[in-house]
This record gives sequence, structure tokens and C-alpha cells, in this order.
Amino acid sequence: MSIENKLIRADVVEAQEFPHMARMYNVSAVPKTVINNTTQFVGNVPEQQLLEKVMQVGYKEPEAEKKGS
Amino acid sequence: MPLIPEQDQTELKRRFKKELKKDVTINLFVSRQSPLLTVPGRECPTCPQTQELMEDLAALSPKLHLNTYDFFTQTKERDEYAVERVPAIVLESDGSPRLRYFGIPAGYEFATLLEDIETLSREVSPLSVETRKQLRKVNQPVHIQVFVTPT
Repeated sequence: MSIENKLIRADVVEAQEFPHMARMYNVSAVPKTVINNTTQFVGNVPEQQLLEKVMQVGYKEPEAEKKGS
Repeated sequence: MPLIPEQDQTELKRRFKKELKKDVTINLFVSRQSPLLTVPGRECPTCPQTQELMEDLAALSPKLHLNTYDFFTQTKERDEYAVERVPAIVLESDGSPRLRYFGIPAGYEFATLLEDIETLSREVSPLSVETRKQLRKVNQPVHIQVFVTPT
């Protein structure tokens, strides 16, 4: 996904090597995915579902930003 | 003994020759330790092996380039690539850093790393056309972190 859009950053973190991070994000099972510290889920999800989660945090209607200006 | 068995090296060389289009840079951040002195807080037990693995890997294709940085002294690069811990691998193509790996990419993660290198090199992700179309609309920063364990 990060290949498609430069605003998307992707990290893979080896949980055992960085236990403080695993604790911080409450990793009890892997793979665990955290998006912008707000969305979390465990396990493999279908592409469509992952896309929905990314779009929820990654897309804002330009109109919504203009409101009130 | 090499970390990548010779038979696999031959196979990977062939695979890279076929699959790699654009050059890919592997930016590796490690903690360089003196063999005589350990600085507390700078230990990185998996750094030497990660470095050896990346050196072996980069040697398999002229399209792969390896830059190795010391996390504790090369702070300019560390900040540029926003690396907060070691070992870290930042895959880069066309001058833009894309994917970051924290920890040694062993076992299944090594296979993932190989696929990511190939994907970056081809510049086309294996995602569906519809997904790619949607992703182009992303207009806010998105940070995806995936936690894994070696298998």
C-alpha cells in the first residue's frame, strides 16, 4: 500500500526484539496491525477490509475541510 | 558459513535477475559495537547477523545497493529515515524510502522482505486495480505497523 501512495508508511516490527513496543500496542497475538495508533486488529484480513480501515484514517473529504472557512 | 545457503543464493540470483527492474537501496541501521567494549544501552544482539544477512543479500544482484549506518553516530541519516530502534532496514527506490523493517528479518519475514524488494523494484503492488485506485485518494498521513514474530 505504501508503494501506491507516499502518504502511507508501512513498518514491520519483530515483536520479540522490541518487547516495549509490543507492550505499548498490547500485542498478544501476531500478526497484529496498528494503523495510526487508532485502529488495531489481529490476524490476516482480506484486502478489501484492510483498504476500508486505511481509508477511514487516510481520506478526508476536501469539502469537510472547507466548511466554516 | 554463509547465512544464505549456497543453493539458495544461486536460486535467488536467478530470481532477482528475472524479477528486478529498478534499483532498490537497502538502508541498514545497526549499533556498531567494538568487540572489546560494550556500551550499556547500545546493545543490539541481532545487529551483526542482520548486517551479515543484508550483505549476503545485496551481493546477489547488481540492482541491490546496501548502505549501512551506525544508529548512534550517524544521526543525520537516522533522523532522515526516521529510525527509532535497531536493527532497522529501510527499503528505498527512486529516492523515496517506503518500507521499514525493525528486527532481524529471519524465517518467514525473510521471504516477505524478498517479495517487498521485488514489488518495489517493479513499482507495481500486487493489489487489485480497485484498491490501487482508492489508495490514490489517500490525503492524510497513514502509518501502518505490523507486529510479527519469527517463525
